[in-house]
Amino acid sequence: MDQAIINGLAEGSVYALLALGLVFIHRITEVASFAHGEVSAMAAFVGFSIWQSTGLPFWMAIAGSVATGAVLGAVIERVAVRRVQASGILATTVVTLGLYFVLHGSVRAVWGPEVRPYPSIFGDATLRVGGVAVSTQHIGVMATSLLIALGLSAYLRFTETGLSLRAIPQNPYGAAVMGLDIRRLRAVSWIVGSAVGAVAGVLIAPLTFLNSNMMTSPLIKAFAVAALGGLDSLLGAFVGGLLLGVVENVVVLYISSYLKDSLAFVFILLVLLVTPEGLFGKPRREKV
Amino acid sequence: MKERLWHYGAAVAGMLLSLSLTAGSSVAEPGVTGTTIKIGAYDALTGPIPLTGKQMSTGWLAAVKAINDAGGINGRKIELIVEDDGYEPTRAMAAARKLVDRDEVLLVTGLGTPTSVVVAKYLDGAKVPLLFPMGASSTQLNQSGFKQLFMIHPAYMTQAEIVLTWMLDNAGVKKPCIIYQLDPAGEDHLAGFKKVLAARKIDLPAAEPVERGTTDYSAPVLKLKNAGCDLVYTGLTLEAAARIVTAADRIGFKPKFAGFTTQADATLIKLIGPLAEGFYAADMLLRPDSDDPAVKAYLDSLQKYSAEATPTFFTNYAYAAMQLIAEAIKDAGPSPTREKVVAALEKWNPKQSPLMGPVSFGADNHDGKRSLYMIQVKNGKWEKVSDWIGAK
Repeated sequence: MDQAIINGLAEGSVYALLALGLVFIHRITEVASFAHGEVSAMAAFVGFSIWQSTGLPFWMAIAGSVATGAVLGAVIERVAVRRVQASGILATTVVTLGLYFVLHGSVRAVWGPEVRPYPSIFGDATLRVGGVAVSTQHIGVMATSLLIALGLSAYLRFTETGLSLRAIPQNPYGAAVMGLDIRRLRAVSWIVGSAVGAVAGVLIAPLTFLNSNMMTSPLIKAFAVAALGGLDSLLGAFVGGLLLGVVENVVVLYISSYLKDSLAFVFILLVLLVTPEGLFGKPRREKV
Repeated sequence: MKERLWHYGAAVAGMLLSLSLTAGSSVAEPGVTGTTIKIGAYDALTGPIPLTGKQMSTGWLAAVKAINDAGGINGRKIELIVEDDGYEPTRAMAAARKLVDRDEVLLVTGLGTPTSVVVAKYLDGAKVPLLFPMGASSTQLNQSGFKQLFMIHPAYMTQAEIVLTWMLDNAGVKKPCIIYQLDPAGEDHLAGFKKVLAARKIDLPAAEPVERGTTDYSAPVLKLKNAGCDLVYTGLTLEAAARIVTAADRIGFKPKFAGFTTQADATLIKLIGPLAEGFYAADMLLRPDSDDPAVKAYLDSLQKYSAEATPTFFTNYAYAAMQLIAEAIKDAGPSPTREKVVAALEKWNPKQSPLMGPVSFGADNHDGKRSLYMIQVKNGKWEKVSDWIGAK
């Protein structure tokens, strides 16, 4: 049972990490980006290519990945999202779905379908404490997700840019009237969110092996976790991810393993029935 | 009045035109001209298993080029048409229809169990041979009774039986467990596993099904550990097996691992390095590191004709299968037809494949190969640990 809980925290932290960038972008721009997983994947692949072809130390390749994520985010915002944003949220979200296919196909076209091992910056060791085992990789993922969640929250709350970012979804016209550069700020949110996605890609790749399909399954869980935590809450995504991972792994001890995924979504459904805005979301009230 | 006449005239002309077109497109001997033979294939180049798909195409194409360069089949060159189906049965059907109706191929080959199951049924009705697809299902393919389908890849049920029996008799296994994919292929593995255990009156300590595409195996692996398994048989993809080994290592669970032909590949060692040590698998083809001259010829061919010269299990299988397809067409005589190909195959008793040993078919047996041999990872390399084992 203890091992299942630890496994759950480990698995959940992966979902949380991928959900953070998603939530950040959604919080500011109200766009749920289906392309987020593929941005993460592409960033991880680019980092891998940099590492393999230049022989630079791996941490520099990671910097390359993060930069790639940031650039991809900027390009997506500028080229695709900005043009369609005026047509509404649904249209924009559909565009991100199209981007999913474009990026996914590009990764496969450029790097092929091969499955490759990916180095872990947290090493491959296993820590054994009191009868339960946890890998250093998973501890690293958990710590990183928490740091990113706290860091981004602090950024939004305590910096001027952060404050400006938060103003946009609340009242875009008011924000523009106040002199905020809406376009630049939206671009910033895509850049930061995608850079966070790149970090997720680099940390998830060692666990799933680097391959063009690696983010298909995690992204669905990341969306679910984001919804569970309240689509705009960064800490909610972190806690929601861990919670989901634990629930999945513990319940599956008593039922057949293949029901794990279905179970995850049933759990989320139940939570959302009780708290529709998610565990940490703010209830939305509109004056009518 | 004049308009109506014009409309009727146009309709009649249109009907005559379309009739003549369809009449013109029915060929006496589909897929065969004086200089070429057209073979069709459905492959998973996109979707969930693009790597396997790419390896299959690599093997088929290298074999086709090698055969054509050596003069072709009775003087005719092979033209291989590969259609992508993304590992989806509906798309595979569309691909098969296109290959038969538009390309008018002589015969078809392909990849995938779920895809082959639907294509086999269609091609049986269309009376087009489906030769040696990479896939297996004892009920729906290998012993399905389809007249047009010929299998050389042993059914997963057969493979699980052979592997488990050997592990019980030779590797001191007492509590054998299985982790398998939740689809017909995986369930075939489970059926074979259970058959052996029932015959020996051994209980099955744990059998964990998982969805294809799962990325985290900690949960089922933990259950296997709690059940005290000393053998984990992996009835799923190679990448999944690799992840299972790492998940087990993470929680300090050290059973014997055994897989089937899909795991008999250097890629497993590449993915998990030292953790692969001791992994058992079954193989159906000669090892790429054997000094058999047929293997050397194959490796030279691969080097010469393909950009990707790695002899993986699927590449090796596809190459060997295409060699056998060419043999079948050759045995059908100087004017091959679909019926003659089927008749020729049913006389193989056995036919020696340079890369996979004897293959036999008969009028009521289209399951051509039911023997495997065991290999194990020792010092970072696969080594043969048994002779050919036939299924009972």
